[in-house]
Amino acid sequence: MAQQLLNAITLGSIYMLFAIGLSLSWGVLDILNLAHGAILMFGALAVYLLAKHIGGVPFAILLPVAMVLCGLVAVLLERIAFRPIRRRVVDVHARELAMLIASVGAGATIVAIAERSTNNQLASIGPEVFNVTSTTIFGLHTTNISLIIIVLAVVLTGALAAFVKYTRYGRALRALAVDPYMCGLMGISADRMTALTMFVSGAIAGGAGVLLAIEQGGFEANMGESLMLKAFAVIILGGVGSIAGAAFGAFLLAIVETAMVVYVDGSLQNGVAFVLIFLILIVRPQGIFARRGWQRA
Amino acid sequence: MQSQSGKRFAALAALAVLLSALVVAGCGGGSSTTSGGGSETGSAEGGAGSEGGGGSGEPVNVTAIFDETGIAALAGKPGVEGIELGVEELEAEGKQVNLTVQDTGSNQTQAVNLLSKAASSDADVVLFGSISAEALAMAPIAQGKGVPFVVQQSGTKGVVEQGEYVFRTTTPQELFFPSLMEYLKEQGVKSYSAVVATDSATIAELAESVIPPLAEEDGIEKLGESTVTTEQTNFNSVASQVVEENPDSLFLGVSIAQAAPAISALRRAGYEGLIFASGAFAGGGLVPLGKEANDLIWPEWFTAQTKLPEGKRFVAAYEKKYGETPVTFAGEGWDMTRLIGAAMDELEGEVNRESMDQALIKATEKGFNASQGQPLRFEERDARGSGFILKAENGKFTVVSEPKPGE
Repeated sequence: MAQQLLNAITLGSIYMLFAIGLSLSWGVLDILNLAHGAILMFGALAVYLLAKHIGGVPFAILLPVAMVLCGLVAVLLERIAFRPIRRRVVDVHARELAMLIASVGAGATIVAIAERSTNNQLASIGPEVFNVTSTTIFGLHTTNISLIIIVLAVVLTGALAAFVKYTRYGRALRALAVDPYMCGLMGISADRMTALTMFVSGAIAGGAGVLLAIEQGGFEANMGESLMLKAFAVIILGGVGSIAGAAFGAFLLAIVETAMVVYVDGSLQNGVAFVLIFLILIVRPQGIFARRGWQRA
Repeated sequence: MQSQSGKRFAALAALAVLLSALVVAGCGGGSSTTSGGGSETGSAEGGAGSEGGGGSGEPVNVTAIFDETGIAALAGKPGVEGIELGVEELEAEGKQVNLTVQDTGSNQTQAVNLLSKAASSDADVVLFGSISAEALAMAPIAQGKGVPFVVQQSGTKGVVEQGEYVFRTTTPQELFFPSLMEYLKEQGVKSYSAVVATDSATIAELAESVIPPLAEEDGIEKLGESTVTTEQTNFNSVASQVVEENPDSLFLGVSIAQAAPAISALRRAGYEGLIFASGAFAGGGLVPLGKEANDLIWPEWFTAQTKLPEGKRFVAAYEKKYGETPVTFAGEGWDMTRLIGAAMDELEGEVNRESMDQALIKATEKGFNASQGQPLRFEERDARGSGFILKAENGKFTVVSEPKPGE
């Protein structure tokens, strides 16, 4: 039981790292970025290619480099796709739909690049980059990478939550979520804040991708796709734009999925995400943590 | 007005991004393929008749529908590479093949659509690999429309059984398991547990109908079973369950894309026993696992370590063309073209679907030299090779058993 709980915490940490970035961009910017899964995978791809072609670079450098690269990819996506759409399309629904479609295309582009780079084969970040070692803590099996995932998930989520709540930039983000036009009048650069949000979102996703690829022993081009459904469940559970909600949703989903594997039938795991989404949308569509309607940041 | 031009721009911007995705996905070296469309490789030039032997001498139109992208690309892409190499060799032998390659995107609906389109085209033969669910959906259509349909992998029941237009050039892997279980018994294995991806028809069949009676026969007790799906990538919970059961061996019935994460999770959770798997794990990125993959054994239809002369010839040609060692799917794809070549030798008169089908039947009745066997024999259009049993040790694969020439 305790071992499975630890497994659930590791799984929840992965979900959390993946979902908070998506929740941020969705909650603050109204961008449902379906390329988020591809950006996650791009982080792993970046480290794989850097290790392959340069070699000898410590993991402590490779990880932040990959995160920066993924953040820049997200900013690029914002600049060339989302921003022009946002500026030209007045109708809210048409704008959101266009950005959704654009993110699908962008995600497919990134996946296609990865497929070419890896020749459609499973690739891995080898022990020369990061050597995974097993360890036992209070009689429970875990690995060094799992511990890093848990710690980073907690630290990053906490830092992001504190940033949004207590800093001036965080207040600006919340203001942007409520009324971007008024932000401009108040001297808050919506473009700059949007770029910052997308950068943070992409960077966290990229970091999650690197850690996940190491934790799983490999990655392939479509790695991020299966996580998108889980991310939706996490975000809808917790409330769009709520970081605390995303954290809660991530661990709730992980615990329920682990319980399915242990006590019911592991092949129904994916169904759990669907059922939870369905139930929350009926009972509390704004999410467990949202105060009213869609809570922003 | 502003709203209209804004909407138009939004549509154009979204279309531009989608188009760029298609361009990146579609272009690149080697044969270019697009989903729903196709490209032709192979040539219709050269002499009208085949050199030496029988055959009509007319070109044969072959459409290969493979999972070149998506979750099954690990199998599909090498399969296409094997086919393209084989077609080049057929041309060098004076046999004209017009090859069109189409990508299913590992999507069953797309696979069926592509087959329907191929059935309406001038394709004389359709080749397919590898997902059982796709093959199960496609085979009845091919049989119904009288299109010779040759599959690789897709080892579940109900594919070849559709009728005389359906062929399978890989042995159903259930036939490899008696020797695999025998090996386990020799290693002193007394118990096993199973991790089964129940949404794979082939794997589910192995886990439910093939392995249990063999295990019982060999006195190997089943301790437990954990079910997963082929999309699952996190195996920590399952690994902890297996460790708790503590079997001597574990049947790992997952897709090859899941091989590395599953084995990593098991070893890191502390499982030290033998792991035996469903076929083709060598394509699943086992080498980077290093010692974590130790004591993994599995059946293969072909391996680059083959001692069969025809297999060695294929390996040399593949390495020369692609600069890397072929995995089993590449060998299987190449064998499909060997079947096409053998059938072309049997062809008499005009090339059409019926004559091609009859020629394929004759070729399978006679058998032909292939990477999987020398000769590769068939029963009712279904391959019956002996297969290889491989074992992973320190990042390398050793051959535990293999077919002999003439077997």
